[in-house]
Amino acid sequence: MTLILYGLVFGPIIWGLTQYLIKAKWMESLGWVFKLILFALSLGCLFKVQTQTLSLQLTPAPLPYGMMLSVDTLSATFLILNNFLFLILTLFASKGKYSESVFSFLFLVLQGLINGIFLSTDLFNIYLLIEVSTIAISILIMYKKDKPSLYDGMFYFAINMVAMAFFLFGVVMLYKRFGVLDLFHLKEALGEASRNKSLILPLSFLFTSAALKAAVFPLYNWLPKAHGIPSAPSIVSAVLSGIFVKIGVYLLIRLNMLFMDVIPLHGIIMVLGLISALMGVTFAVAQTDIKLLLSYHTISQVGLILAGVGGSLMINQAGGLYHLVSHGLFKPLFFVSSGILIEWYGTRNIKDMQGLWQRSRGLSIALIIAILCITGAPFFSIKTAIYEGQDNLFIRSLFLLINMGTMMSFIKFLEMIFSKNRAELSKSGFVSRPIKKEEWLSLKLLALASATLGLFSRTISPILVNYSFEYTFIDRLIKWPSYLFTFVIAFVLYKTFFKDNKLIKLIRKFDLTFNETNIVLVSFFFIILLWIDYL
Amino acid sequence: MDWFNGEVAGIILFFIGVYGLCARRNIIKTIISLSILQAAIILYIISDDAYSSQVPPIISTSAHPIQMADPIPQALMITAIVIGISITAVALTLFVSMYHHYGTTNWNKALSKRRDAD
Repeated sequence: MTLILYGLVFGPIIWGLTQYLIKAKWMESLGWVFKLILFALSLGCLFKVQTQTLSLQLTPAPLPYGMMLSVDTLSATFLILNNFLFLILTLFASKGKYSESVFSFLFLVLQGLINGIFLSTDLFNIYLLIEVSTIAISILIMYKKDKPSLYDGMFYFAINMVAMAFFLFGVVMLYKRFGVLDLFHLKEALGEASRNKSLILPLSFLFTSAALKAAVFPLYNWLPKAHGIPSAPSIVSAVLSGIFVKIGVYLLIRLNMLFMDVIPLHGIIMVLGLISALMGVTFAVAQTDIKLLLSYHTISQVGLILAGVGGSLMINQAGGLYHLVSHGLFKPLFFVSSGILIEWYGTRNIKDMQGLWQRSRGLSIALIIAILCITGAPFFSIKTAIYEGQDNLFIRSLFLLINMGTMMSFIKFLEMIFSKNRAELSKSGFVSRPIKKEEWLSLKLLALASATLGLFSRTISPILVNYSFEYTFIDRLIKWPSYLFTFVIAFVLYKTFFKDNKLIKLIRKFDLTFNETNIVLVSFFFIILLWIDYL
Repeated sequence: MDWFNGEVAGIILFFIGVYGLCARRNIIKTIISLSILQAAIILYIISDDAYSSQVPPIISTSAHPIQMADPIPQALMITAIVIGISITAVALTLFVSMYHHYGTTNWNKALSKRRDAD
């Protein structure tokens, strides 16, 4: 059973290379079987880790000197999300212009590398895998080689490499102190060590790099460039928002678990998460570019996830993790739909896209499901678990404000779906391109998976996040009036204050240069250093 | 000057690299700064355990393992050097492609041209 861990990392890379070298029709069919096997293997891992942790020694030397691949509940959750997402997105692009061999090769390599990040227990291996996957994703961002994508790709590459240098420095400092790199042995060593000043510097380095990877405010500046870039293929944006940004969240969770006994980090994670969620939503409300709007919402939703995993109660942490999986499904649905919409309407401005309901009921329904998931509608999302049991009135109000901001943003989507009638449609420059059956299938699967996660959270959550959400049908039903009431207030606020507001227009133009982003990164590092020292 | 060893030099060098990233607008200098960061980390870790009493970790020598220097930092840093070179190569390749479109080595000028292209 443990040998499948090899397969999850090396399988996609070797298969990608084989597919690149042997360009035959039967290879394509075999490729689908292979991708389904990968998904089945990750599903198998998820069920297996309910009873035991799977581990595979990679070197003859025993730990702590050797290396190991291991799956626990946390990594199994990320694995299943990664392999499901890559299966669906490859299906989406299978008959399109991105089905060519180089793109497929890079995509498969990326899948294997991301699997490796979640499976590796060695900090240095994690560093290597993130570095190589960042190179792969930068090439995918620049794939069209047009002017905007080259700048955005270069910016993304450079700032992420700076972050990874911070990560490596943190790793080597920890090695110097404890002589181990394996996460489990490091935790043991940290448990035996008393709180010491020498831990603060490596932890600050590691935390800063993980925070940049997770696009925590104020280190978010690279994300809208990479995710929202108009010329990048939609499936690349979907992978970035669906799983790649979650690597940062994964690292923060691992760091929190690692240092829990000496320096508890959950308070910092929660505060940073709340600030990110609030700022992300503020920037998102100001956007009219459909991809940028979705990108800023990724910052906001990742912030919410962090606020959950940094929460003090089990329900908050499980809620954050469950929302992470849910976000990993509905956000790619948004991104691939936005790719179709941009092609149809010939514009990225969401205000110029109208009358979708008359044109495509199927796409409208898929988008409505995604909107219900992101806005935390009862039966579709258990986002409220993130702040359940929170007594602090200020924090509860913040969560309400964030949710209202999310609703305000997605009113633009609802306007796009329901506005204008068929007669006016002809004037809006709509270019019809039939959705291919592979695209339809992947859209349906993403919508179905997003809705299933919300509807059957009671059954799925014990397997996925090791926690059972005891929400009954009645519990969810009685939450609908307050959800609708919040939506109405959000609608009124959007129409009366936020629409065409001068401040909003100013926020829309806000951007940092590369040097400013680095200054922010260094300042963030010193703030975290002082904060951890104060704890 | 006893306090000034490889580790201290590594930390100082690292922040010189960070200064380059914050203060230099030239993209080539950004790539050089990234290389400085890598070199600083390598210097920091290989200075660890470098005591004059220790012998190289080669099994064929008659020395007892306890006298040998820890071989892991060296093994790790060989990998880090390879990765560092790859990163520099990729960064330079990306920069050349970018330069063909923007005609500038300045981050800020490239940004304003990027905004115009939108």
